[in-house]
Formats: sequence, C-alpha cells, structure tokens
Amino acid sequence: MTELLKINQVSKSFGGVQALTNVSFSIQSGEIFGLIGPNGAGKTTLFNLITGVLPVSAGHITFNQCPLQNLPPHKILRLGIARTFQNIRLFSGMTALENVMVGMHSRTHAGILGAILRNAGTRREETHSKAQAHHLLTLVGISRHSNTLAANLPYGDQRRLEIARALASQPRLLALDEPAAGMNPSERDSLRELMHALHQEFNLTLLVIEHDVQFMMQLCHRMAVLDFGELVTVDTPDKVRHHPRVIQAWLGGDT
Amino acid sequence: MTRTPKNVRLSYSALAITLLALPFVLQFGLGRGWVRIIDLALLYSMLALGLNIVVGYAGLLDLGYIAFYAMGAYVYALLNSPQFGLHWPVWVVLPLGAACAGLFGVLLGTPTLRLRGDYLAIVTLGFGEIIRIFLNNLNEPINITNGPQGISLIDPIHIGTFSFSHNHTQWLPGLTGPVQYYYLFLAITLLIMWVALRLQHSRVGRAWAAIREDELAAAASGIALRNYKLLAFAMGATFGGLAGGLFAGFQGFVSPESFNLMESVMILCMIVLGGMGNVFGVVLGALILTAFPEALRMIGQWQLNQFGRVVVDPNNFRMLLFGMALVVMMLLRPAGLWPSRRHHREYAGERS
Amino acid sequence: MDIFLQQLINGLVLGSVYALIALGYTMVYGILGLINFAHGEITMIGAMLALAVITHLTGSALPIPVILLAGLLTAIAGCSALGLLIERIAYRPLRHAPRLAPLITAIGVSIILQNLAMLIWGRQYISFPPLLPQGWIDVAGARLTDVQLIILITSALLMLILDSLVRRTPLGRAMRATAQSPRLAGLMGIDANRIIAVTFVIGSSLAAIGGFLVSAYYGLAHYYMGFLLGLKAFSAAVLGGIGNIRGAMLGGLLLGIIESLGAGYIGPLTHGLFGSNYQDVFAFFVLIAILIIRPAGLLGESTADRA
Repeated sequence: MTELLKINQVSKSFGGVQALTNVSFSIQSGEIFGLIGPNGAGKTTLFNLITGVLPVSAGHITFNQCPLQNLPPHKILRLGIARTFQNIRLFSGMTALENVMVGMHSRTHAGILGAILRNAGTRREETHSKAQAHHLLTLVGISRHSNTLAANLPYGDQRRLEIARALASQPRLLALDEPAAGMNPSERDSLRELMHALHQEFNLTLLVIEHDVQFMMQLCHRMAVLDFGELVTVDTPDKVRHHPRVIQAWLGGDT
Repeated sequence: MTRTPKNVRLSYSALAITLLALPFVLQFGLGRGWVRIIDLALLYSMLALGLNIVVGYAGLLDLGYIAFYAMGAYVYALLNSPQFGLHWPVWVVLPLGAACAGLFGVLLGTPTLRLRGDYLAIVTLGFGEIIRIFLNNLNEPINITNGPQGISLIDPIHIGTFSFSHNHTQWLPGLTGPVQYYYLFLAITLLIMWVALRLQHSRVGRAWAAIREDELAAAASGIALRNYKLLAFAMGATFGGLAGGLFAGFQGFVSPESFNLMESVMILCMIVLGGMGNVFGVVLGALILTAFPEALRMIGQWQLNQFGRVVVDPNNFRMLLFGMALVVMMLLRPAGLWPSRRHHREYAGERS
Repeated sequence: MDIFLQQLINGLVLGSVYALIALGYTMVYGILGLINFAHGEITMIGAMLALAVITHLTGSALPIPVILLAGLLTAIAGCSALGLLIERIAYRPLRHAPRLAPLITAIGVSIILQNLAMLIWGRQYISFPPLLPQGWIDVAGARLTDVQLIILITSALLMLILDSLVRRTPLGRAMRATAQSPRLAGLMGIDANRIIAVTFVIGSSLAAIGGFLVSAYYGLAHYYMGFLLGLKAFSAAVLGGIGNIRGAMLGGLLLGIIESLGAGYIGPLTHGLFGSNYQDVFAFFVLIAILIIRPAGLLGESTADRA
C-alpha cells in the first residue's frame, strides 16, 4: 500500500475561532478510512479543506505527492478526489441521469463548437457519457429513476445519486460526508454493502465521515478521531473502540 | 392529435407556412406598421435569446445587457455611414460588431464574475450606464459617436446590390423593406434558437445548468466556474452585438437613448415572463412584450371608432397598463408563461 | 480658492440623502433577499406628495414650518401606505416563487407608479414653493446653505435613531432575527409578516423624507426623478454591503462624495478630455472597482458558503 492522501500539521481558523489545530494523518491507497468525532469536532471543515472549498490556514495537504493548497475545487477533482455533501447538494432541477453526466464533466471534452456542430466526436462522447451514466446509476441501484428530477427522488436515493455523480469523475479517493445520515438501519446496511461493493469494483479509496459509530466500526479499516479540532487518535476500529480518551470523551456508554 | 411522424410533419409545414405568410397577412390586414413591429419583435427575440444564455442557462443576473446591443449597433453605424465616410461590407461589419461585444463581455466578466448574484447585477447595470454615457459624450474632443444626436443615414443591410430597405414590389406585390427584413430576422432568430437549443442539450449546457443550480456542487463536479461563466457571458454578448448590428441597419439611425437601462430591464422581463431557460418561452415573451404596448396604442383608434372621440388618451395609459400586466402575469404564473422543466424549483430553496 | 471643500460639502449633503434612500433598499434586502426595485419610485411619490400639499397650503395663513411639516407628514403617511400595499400585492404572494419573479413585479410596480405620477402631476417639472430659508454660512471659504444644513442634520438624526432602533430595541432584535432566518424567528414567536410590514413602513418613510429633502435641495420634483435616485441609492447600498444598515449609510455618504468630487475634478485631472458630464461614469467606475476589491461591499460579510 502506498500513501495516497497526507494531511500534515493542518490548522484552520474562522476569524478567531480555531476549528482545526495541527491535524496530521495519512490515508493509504485502497483503504476505507473513517473520520469520527462529535458535532463541531471539525470533520466537515477538514473535508472542505481537502476538497478546496475552504483555504487552509496552516499546514500542507498532499494527494499522491501533489500539494493541494490553493487549488480550486475543480482542479482537486481532476486530480482524483471526489466528494459528496453532508446536506445533499444535487442539481435538483436536472434528472438523475443529467446529474451523473455533469459528474462526468472532467472526463469529457466537448466544447462550444462541438455543442453547436454536434460533430461525430461529440456525438460519440455524448453516447458514451449516457451509457456510462446509466451504468453508474445501475451500480448504485437507482437506474429505474434515471429520468426523474433529482428533487423528486426519495431521500435515500438522493444520497445514492450523489455517490453516483461523484463516481462519474473516476476518482481515486471518494470522500463521503455523512452518507448514512437520516437513514434507517436497513437502509444503512444496504448503503454499507454498496460502499464495500464500490470499494471492490473500482479499487477505490474511501474517506467517510459518519456519526454512527457502529456503522463505522463495521465499515472502516482505520479511523481518525477528532475532538475540538484536534486529532485524538488514528487506529483500527478495535483499538479506537478501546482508546481511553474515546470512551471517556464521547463514546460513553455506547459500547 | 397523436404524434405520428406524419402529424408532426403536417404541423411543422403549417407552422412554416404561417411564418412565411405572416408579414403579408399583417401588411394587408393590419397595416404596414405591424410588419415593422414584428421586425422589432424578432430583434428583441434575438436579444432575449442571448440574455437567456446568461440569465436562464448560467443563472447570472445581468442588468446591463443592452450595452452589448449598443456596441453592435454603433460598430455597424460607425463603419457604415457618412459619420466617417466608411461603407464596409455587411458580412464584415456584423461579425465584427458581434465579436466586439463578445470581447467586451469577456473584459467585463473577467474581474466581476466572482461577485455574488445581486452584486453582479449592479456591476453590469453600472457597465450598461457607463457605455451609454460614453456614447452620449464621445462627440468631443474628437467627434466619434456624434453624442446625443446619434448617427443617422446608416447604410441599410445589403447583399451585393440587394438592399433590404428598398421595396421590391415589382417582383412581388407587398414585398416591402420591412417584409424583407422580416425574412432576414426570422432566419437569424431561428438560427439563434437552434444554436441555443444545441447549447442547452450539451456538455456545456449541463455545466451552465449545474452552476445555476448549485455553484459549490458544480465546482466539486469538476466544472471551472469562471471559465463557464465567462463563456456564457461572451456568448450572450455576441448575440447581443449581432442583434445590435442588425438593428442599426434596419433602423438607419442609432442614438444613445435607445440603449437605456429600461431596455435591459425589458429584455429581462421578456425572459422571466416567457419562461426562463426555455428557448420557446423566451421568444414568446419577446413577442408579447413587444406587441403588447403597440397593441395598446390601437386602443385610441378603437375609441375613436366606437365613441367618436378619445375618452382616455392611450399614450398615457399604455405604460400604466403594461406595468399592471407585468405584475398580474407574474402573480398568476411566477415561473413564466412557458417555463422550462428545469426551472420549476429554481432558487426556491436558496435562502434556507 | 480650492473647490475641494465646497465639493465635499455638496457631496456630503447629496450622500446623506442617498443614504436615507439606500436604507430602504438594504433593510428590505436584508429581510427578504429582494431588490425592491420600486423603492426609487416611492421616493419620487414622497417628493410629489409633499410638494402637492405644500403648494396647496402656500399662501394660507399657516406658518411656514407647519406647511412644510404638513407636506412631509403627508408624504410619510402616503409612502408608508404605498410601501405596505406594494409588499402585500406584489411581493408577499411571490415569497416562495423563483427568485426573479418578485424582481419583475417590482419593475412592474415602478412602471405603474411612474406613469401614475405622470398622469396625476403631468410631465413638467414641479418647483418647490419659495418657503425655504435662503441664507448660508461661510465654512472656511466654502458655502453651506441653510437647506444643506437642514438636510445634514435631519439625515444624521434619522440615521442615529434608526441605528439605535435596530440595535437596542426589541423590535430591532426581532428584525435582525428575521433577517437571519425567517423560519427560526417564527419559531421564536416572531411574526415575520409583521416585521416585514414594519420594515417596509420604515424604509418607505425614510424614502419619503429623502424625496422631500431632494426636492427641497434642487427646488424641483419630476415624475422621472425616482429612477436615477433609486439607482444611485441602490448602488450606495451595494457599495456599503447590501443588507447591512451601517453599510448603507457609509455607502450613501461615500457615493455622494465620490460623485461630487468626481464632477469637480474629472475635468482638470484629464486635462479637459472628460467633462463633468462623466460624473456618473466616475461614480460607477468607483463602485465597480470597490466591488472587485471587496466583493461583498465595504461592510458586508463575505458569506463563505459552508458545505
């Protein structure tokens, strides 16, 4: 295994509020890596730093040896990091299929002339995109909804669509921000199966934020624990489960 | 009627015949003035289609769009009138005007497109006013635009020796200047519609729609926000510039007054009223908003016929009724008369 | 004698009127997220109403301050009612409609108001009856007229009152809460509709006063005056950071000063290439430049989108 994403001494402050302090860890290629911590621990902030939504205050993030600071989100995506959002951000007025096709943007090329002239190359690319999008929708299990507007999809399927859209960019690292939020236990189980399947199928590296500790324990190979913007520990689920500070701080009577 | 291929063919043919016959029907039925109104409506359709790319597709609120129209018009006017004694060929001047407008679109867009929605609106509005004020005042120290008097005696649009402004009734009864312009403008409008539709259903169109719906998610999907916004801006400006050139040739006269803020606002109204994002809705909006105030002019004549005198002067009430119609139509159909499927939920959840 | 001080005074006076009108834009925007395009026309109606009453009463036995006050109060009452009416008819039904829909109704309303004013008061300029004091004070060689002084004092007072109203009273707190999140404010027992109505009343009253002051300053009113005034005031609100009340005040003053100094200096600075007819260009250039440097306006918070 090689090191894919490296977070090195990363800090972030909003005005005077320190959201993250000197966080360091790295994610190996091919692993399912979890990020857990109580509300306000800085998980989503870290996500936003990695994906270029927010600028880093101090420290370095490298992906595949390539520094990510100051790169805009679309360039980071091109390097191979795709993400989903905590509070689902689909293009609600577009169909599921179109959402996925937008996700394919970085892997397609047709420009303005191609759009107007619709030459053979553009048509081929369009057909290919459509087929690929269908394939991805089938993979996440919502192909029957391909022509439904994203806004009209049931909640769980919206989460799945967001995953399909992220996959469309053929990422090496897929970052999922609370993918199981608001799901019932059986939906969570099938989501976890899906994530395992994707991990297998694409040889993906997964970075997952989730509140549900049980869910994460079963899913992840390793996990990092954040609390008040600081890294508590990085370890396997079993070790994390028995880490004194984890138990004391917020696992409480959960285990 | 079912949508068999035969029926579709039939209805297309009917539409084509209607469009071809329309100017003659108007000319002989309602009078020559109406053909000119339809010509103007087609010019506005082009403008509305262009602005629709910016506002309807990419979701960028541009309140200074008329500036690009003005640019196209003045490029045509300056290079095709006694002002400088230049008479360049139309096929050079029209694309040149469009290109100038497009270039200015990029120049304006480059620094401003990272502004949030309503800030962009005021900046574009300011730009529109700046252009108008320059046109108004660039008659000294060197006389370029001839100031508020504007430029007159502009050459009509002509191909070889065929001038669109000259009547050719010897060829066909009723083939007057406005009728000829009608066919030219109709062809160009249809061409722009076709381009707009192709853009909409393409990778570029999807990128615009994504930006409009959720910038952050669009960026996270790999779309270079600034480039695509600039592209929309430039495309819209180019169409505006083209329409401006046509306007100058058609009208034979341009002055800064034709390019005030109210015109930008009017084009925006056409889009929103017709149905933002939908090419057909936008054209419908342009036709209605051009024809409606003109139709209201007719009320005076109607009163004269009915009561023998003008009870209420329609010129005073025309814009009042127009304002009321805008309000009422928006209240009844907030998404426009012919909304695009994508826009039903537009912005609805924005301020969550 | 340098024109600087004189232009500064003129700019401050003009700017304080812009600020009063800008407050209406910014307050409505803060709460509804809506550009109240008709606000400029409300200002115009205010000026027209005040002038109508004042002209009517001129020559009566009433003392001059009473006549002026009667005009002003009529304008305030009329504009408040108008603001409420517009909110009720043109904006409230569209609160959950696509964002541009209320902008179009606002445009429709301003066309209606403009043409209504033209029908009632005609196309000609209406002059302010000669009731105002004509004196002036010498300020280091520059001239500050009585009317200018009145405008400065009135608008400064109004802005102070508004600022403390918004910052210190329960009503102000409710307004700020509604601006933050209408839904949450509703859960806290704040009647959003009432707050919105109050906002429109305050904004329209300030517009009425602004309109009155402008017509007193120039000695004129016209059915078309609302357009440019509204445009300038809206620019001022954006300049300061739209939605921000102190920003609108700052933006108004700045825009007035920039415009006035621009008009005074643009000729000499460009060696006569551009005359004072470019003063609006100057104002817009500065506006655009400031927005490019500070995209959220001078006092606006950059609302970084949190995922």
